[in-house]
Amino acid sequence: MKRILLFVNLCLIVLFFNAGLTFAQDEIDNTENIAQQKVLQMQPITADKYFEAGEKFYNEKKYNEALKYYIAAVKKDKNYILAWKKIGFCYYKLQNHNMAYKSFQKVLSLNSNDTEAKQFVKYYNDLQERNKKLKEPKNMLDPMWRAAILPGWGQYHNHQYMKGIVITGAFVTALGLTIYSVMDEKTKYEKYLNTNENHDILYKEAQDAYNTALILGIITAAIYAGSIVDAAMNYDCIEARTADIKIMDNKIFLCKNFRW
Amino acid sequence: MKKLIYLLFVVFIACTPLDKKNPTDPSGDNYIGWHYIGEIGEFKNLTDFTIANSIIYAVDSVEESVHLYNIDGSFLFKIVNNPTPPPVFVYPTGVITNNGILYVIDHQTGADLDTFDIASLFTSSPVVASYDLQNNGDKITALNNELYVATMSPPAVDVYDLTGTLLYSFSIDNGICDTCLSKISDIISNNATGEILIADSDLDRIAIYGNSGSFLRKIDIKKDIKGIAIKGNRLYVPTKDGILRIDYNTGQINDIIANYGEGNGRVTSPDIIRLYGNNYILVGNTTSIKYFQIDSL
Repeated sequence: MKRILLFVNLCLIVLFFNAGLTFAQDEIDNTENIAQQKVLQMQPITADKYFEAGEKFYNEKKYNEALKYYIAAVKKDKNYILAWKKIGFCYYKLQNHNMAYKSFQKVLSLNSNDTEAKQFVKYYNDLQERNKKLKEPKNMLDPMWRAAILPGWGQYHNHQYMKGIVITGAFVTALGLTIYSVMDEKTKYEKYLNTNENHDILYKEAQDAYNTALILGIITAAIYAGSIVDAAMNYDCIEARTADIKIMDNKIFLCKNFRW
Repeated sequence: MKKLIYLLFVVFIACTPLDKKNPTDPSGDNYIGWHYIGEIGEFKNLTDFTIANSIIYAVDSVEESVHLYNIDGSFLFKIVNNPTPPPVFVYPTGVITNNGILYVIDHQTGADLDTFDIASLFTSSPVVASYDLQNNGDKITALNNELYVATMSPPAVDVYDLTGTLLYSFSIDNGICDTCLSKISDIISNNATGEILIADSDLDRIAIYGNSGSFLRKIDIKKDIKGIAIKGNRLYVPTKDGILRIDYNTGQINDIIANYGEGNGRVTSPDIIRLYGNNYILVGNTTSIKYFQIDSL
């Protein structure tokens, strides 16, 4: 019994000792932070210092905090290219694309050869170009003549890509089957015309092939006409006025969305 | 549902029938008046056939038999050799019927003319008689109860009465001349005029004789011919170009039958030809008999 009591006492002593150590470590960290802030307040702060502080938050993915320090850095030094670029990255991460665009433009104004800034500006220019085109007045004939040349192209022009692919596929398939059936019908009818026996059997074969070709031809024509009508009806649809942008994982992509 | 019905209606309306334009299709709108029906029989070497009372009698020289078919092509009966010697046939080549008797020429050395009572053919013991022939004999026809037996080569025609007694022979010049014969491939009679018609497959001509054996005239076909048939004033001659229909008096070709399209209805190996009724033409081609229907013979 005594031994058990002695063991419990030992365990409690070890537990309190560890708790005491953790508390002491936290106290030291807080003291260091306060000391660091006091150092920043007391010393004359340079743009580099602000940038370094910004980098610390940026690496921790605290983009709002990092942004404050980068801005402070460029206030100190208006030609601080790296800080301007980081501001652009932060705005990009925070999906504030207007400010990101302006930041990268600023970088380019300071260094026209900056590759990253160039890429971002081009990327944003593409977006703007697309949005600009989308706001232009639409013409019903544009998708119609495209659909008349190739069924599905009109839908593609209206940004209804999935519909366009399906219509083109259906049209090409139906057209191929129609051509095959017409050739088959021609062969069988020629055979009937050139025979001198079993007329009824050969005529029936030719007639069946003719009916098949006709039905497929009607289907093909229906797809063709339907494609033109659909393209005309949807020339100004929501999809036609939507930019091809995809936002994923805090990134923005130019893309083709497979809309119906 | 309404749309579906409308679509089906459109498809139904659109499915108009194709034009029936085959010239040998009786239901076509440009039917030329004849068409091929089909084939009758299966022979090893068909040498001759005749039609009487809607029955076809066909001779197979290699199988040594006579096949009987209904005019619709259904098989009736076959006269074959005895299982034990002596054989009925050695090499049968010609056949004709006359007054209920079937005459079959058995071409061989010491040829004979075998006769069968048609009424007894379907019994277990058909009446059979045999008469010796002066020449080998290949083809036979009958006119006014006389039997005209033609030998292919050297060309000869011997006339017998119905009991096989030789009455007389045609005077035939063998060779190449206007009145000559070289190789007799068929012999028929024209009951209306009492004339005998002989097809010569060497000279590609038809020679017409009086029933006493006097040469009357010839019709030059100038195409490879074997068989001939006559109906009224028209001669029917199968050639590789089709069946020629020739005016009997003038010798002019009126039209050509069985010369169209692909298949068995195109005559490519002409042989013996026989007519039946007012609408049917039958052409032998060694292994079978081709059967044509025509608007009017």
